[in-house]
Amino acid sequence: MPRLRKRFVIDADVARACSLADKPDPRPGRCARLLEWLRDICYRMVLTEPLRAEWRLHRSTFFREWRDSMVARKSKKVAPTDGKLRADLCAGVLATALSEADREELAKDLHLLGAALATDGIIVSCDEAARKRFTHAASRVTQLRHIMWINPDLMDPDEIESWLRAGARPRKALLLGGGER
Amino acid sequence: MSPPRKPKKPKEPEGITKITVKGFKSLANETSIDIRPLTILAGANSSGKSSIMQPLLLLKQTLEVGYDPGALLLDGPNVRFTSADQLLTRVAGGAQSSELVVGIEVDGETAVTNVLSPAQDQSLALRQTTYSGPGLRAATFRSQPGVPQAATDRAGVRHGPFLVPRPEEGQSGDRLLAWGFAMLDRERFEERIRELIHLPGLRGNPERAYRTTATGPLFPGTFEPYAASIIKAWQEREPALVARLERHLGQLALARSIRATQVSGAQIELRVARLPRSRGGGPRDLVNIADVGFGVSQALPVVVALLAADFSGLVYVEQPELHLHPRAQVALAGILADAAKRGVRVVAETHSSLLLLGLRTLLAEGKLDPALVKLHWFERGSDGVTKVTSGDIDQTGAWDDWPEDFADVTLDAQARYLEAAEAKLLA
Repeated sequence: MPRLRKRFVIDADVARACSLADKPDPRPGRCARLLEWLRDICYRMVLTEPLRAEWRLHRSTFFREWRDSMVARKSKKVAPTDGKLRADLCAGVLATALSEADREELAKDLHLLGAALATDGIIVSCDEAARKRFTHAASRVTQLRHIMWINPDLMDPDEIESWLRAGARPRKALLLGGGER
Repeated sequence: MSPPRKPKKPKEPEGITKITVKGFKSLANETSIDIRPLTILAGANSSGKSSIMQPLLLLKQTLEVGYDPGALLLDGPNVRFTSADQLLTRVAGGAQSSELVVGIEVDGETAVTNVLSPAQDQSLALRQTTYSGPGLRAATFRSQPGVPQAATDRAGVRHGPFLVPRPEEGQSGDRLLAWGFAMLDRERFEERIRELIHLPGLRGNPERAYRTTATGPLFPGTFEPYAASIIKAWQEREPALVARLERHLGQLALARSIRATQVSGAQIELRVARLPRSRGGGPRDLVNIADVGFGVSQALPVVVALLAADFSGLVYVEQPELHLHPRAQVALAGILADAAKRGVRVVAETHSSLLLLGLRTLLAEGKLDPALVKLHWFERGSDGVTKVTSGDIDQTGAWDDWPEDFADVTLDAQARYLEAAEAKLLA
């Protein structure tokens, strides 16, 4: 039996970005390529109710087929989890909000942190604003510092691929606690 | 003074460029499809895809039978009916159509249109043939002329599946010209129809040995029985075609080599590499085609036909994806495109969204000229009548009026599956 590999939390905005891959386009989408690597290198996707609810909103053919190909492999590529963030951590993160609007945005994405902390601490998301908010929160909430935030839109695809192929080990530059990028 | 104009290059023959049908099965209204080098017919089952091509096949089998079967041979190797009422339109709750109209345009300029009506003996009687084209070609010939409806109306006599002028028509002046053009055009239409290569949706079981046949250039009946003899002939005279055939079979992951061997005066055995890819065994490790998967025997005649087809001829393939793995269905798009680029004209009737996706990808990658491709999407309305939506696919593989059907079916099926499977995983 193949060794189970690390679990990745896929934000819904990656699904949205994948709708570009539905159209025949000579440029393969960066998000679509990352998802293909996750599947081909035998990583797993984290499955939670909030993630599922958000994914449903995006009718990207590519993303749906990708999920299908992950789910259809007898769960070897899916990591279901409750992924609820502990109440004290929720409160801690929300306390770092700089405004009411900031607090609402943080609250909306708390489920990503919950899913990441319940698994291997890796979030794939193109939402830079969210990353900045959580990087700021990580300065006060130490548990967040070991979460890696992968933004396929900003990172060099070759670098992502080699990092994935090398085992997706923690890298300071990717950590929420690794300092501002 | 304007510079001398370069002499125009003679126009390349284009073969059949348009088909028009009315009153045939669900094609109640006059329906026309343009034929491009790669023409795709897609749509649901019983939406009328085959119906647009079957009148052409009726003409083919009428011309190829060794006796005079009347205006149309209804029961032949390509299409099988036993009486006219099986093929004439009968819309839900309505009466049967009183006429069948079949029109064929060749080389983009000359057309012939037959009008037939049911006869008392349940066959079809040819009532009228109209020739149209540039110059003085326009003429209508009627089998039972009543009051002429136009100055160009003439009395006609049936010659095969067409009406041609009675001999006394060709006496002088314009009538002589019209007589001459009609006789010439009839030959041209017959030639184009005889050139049609037909690969039906049911291509039979693989045989341990195939009957020896002629190897073209014409292929009466359906094409599958000719494949073995053609491969044998290529081995002797056209090794480059055998190499291309093997390359295509390799692209489909079906076989990397093939060998035709004469086992008796009347029979040829086809043997293919035991392993589709080079995983030991070598290219000479061959087994009879009946001992490998159905995909090989179903795809082989398609690939051979695409390589054997003449430039003006038309290859009509029903379900080219038959028995093929999804990956091979995508690869098949490349083989069809390759044929179209060589000048072969292909009409493919398909249910394969992967084949369509493969073609769209080739267009987006710039590996296929959009001008070579035409897509006709068939659907039936609530009254049972077929509606055809035709369009050009652009260089990004997009179509103005892209059929939702395929994508929706896939998305809906996946959504339903994911809903159930993910719920179970989270339970």
